[in-house]
Amino acid sequence: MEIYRIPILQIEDFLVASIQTPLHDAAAVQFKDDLLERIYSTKARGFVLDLTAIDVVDSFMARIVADVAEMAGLMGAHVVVTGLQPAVAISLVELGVEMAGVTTALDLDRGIRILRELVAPEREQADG
Amino acid sequence: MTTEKLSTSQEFERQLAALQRVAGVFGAMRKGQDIYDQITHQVVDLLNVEKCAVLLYDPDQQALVGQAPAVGVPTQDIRGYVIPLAEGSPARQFWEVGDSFLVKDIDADPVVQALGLADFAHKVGVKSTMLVGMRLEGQLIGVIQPSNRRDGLPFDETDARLLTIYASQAAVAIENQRLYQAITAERDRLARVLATVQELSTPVVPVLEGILILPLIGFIDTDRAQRIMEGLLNGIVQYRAQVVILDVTGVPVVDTGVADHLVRAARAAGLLGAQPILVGIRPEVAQTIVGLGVHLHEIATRGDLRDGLEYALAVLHRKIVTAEGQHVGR
Repeated sequence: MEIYRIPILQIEDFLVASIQTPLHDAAAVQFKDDLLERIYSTKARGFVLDLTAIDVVDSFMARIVADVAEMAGLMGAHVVVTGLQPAVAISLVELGVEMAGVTTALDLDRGIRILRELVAPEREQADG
Repeated sequence: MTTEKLSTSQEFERQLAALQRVAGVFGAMRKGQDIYDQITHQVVDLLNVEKCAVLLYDPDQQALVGQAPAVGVPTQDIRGYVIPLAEGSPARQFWEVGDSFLVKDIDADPVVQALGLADFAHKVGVKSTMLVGMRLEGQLIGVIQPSNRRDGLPFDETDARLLTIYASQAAVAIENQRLYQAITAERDRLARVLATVQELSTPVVPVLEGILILPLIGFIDTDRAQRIMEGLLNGIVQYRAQVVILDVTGVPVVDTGVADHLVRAARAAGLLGAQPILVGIRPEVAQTIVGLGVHLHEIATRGDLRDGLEYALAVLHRKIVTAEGQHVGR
């Protein structure tokens, strides 16, 4: 059976992926591999993970998201999670699963802005 | 002699059976069904009469007023049946002294004639009648009036005694009904007030672009905390807020539970990308929070709403200036 692969798109120096269905074992592993490979190959400075279409986030998925963020961070890319639904936010807080260390934003637009703000000083440093 | 004894004994048995029924019928009173309907039907059975009505004393009119429904009297007629009890009324004596008033013959009774009620009696077909007072703590609250014994005889003292016992119970039943209705009405009113309060309890105010204020007022329990969190998160999405100010000036008690709810709401807001700011912590509340060992470190706090708003503007890299470009603030 072919594993569903989540498309990863590029905007400026950032990557964007939108998850439409709950991530499970094989798909999650595939997604991690794909993403890290793309960050390596594109030298992306940031990554937006959009969860607008997700109604339920369980502790497994929350951990995947936190793991991906940490790994991407190690490779020099900032990660912003966007589009969490209010009900999802409430259940994450109730579960005590809070995706520590993950930056969140209301939607994709805000996510990209935050990445630009995060990346701008680094560029200045590099240019200077 | 033997016949007399027998009839006395029979009469006694009949009364005893009737008393048992009186005791029984009140146990069988059904809630919801009209109380006057129940009382009048019970009296019709108890005394074996054709008609029965209940009249209640109305302090405003100073009169006994017929209550619908009655047995054997049409509803539109019984509503117009009024016996004035004001000073000088011939029926006043009854109000002050007696518990029962027997009318053997409508046309010959001086009180009925004086009250001008003979026409009404003829209209509804009353030939002989009896009025027995219902008293509650000594106060006359109304009368029960059965009319026309089925055997055609006039009412006697035995009927009056029996109905007097019944009436004392009926008075309590009517009072219970009245209290029940009053309590039901009050409960419905409180339910409406509560619904209004709940609607008003979670206001989300968008003050400036990207800034929401939640003025929290009153006690916060789990239910309310849940609604506050939902209102807050929906408000963040709706107004695309980047900063939310939780104003707890109006929250009288902040215990561990409330603090926990606030922290959760703040974390959930953070997950939607909005920064929470807590303002309006009063001295006693601050003492409680520290005393309880609750940690609110992850939420930015400011003294009052004004400072909170300035801080929110700073987060958004904005400030309020005068038309001349001078900074406005402390």
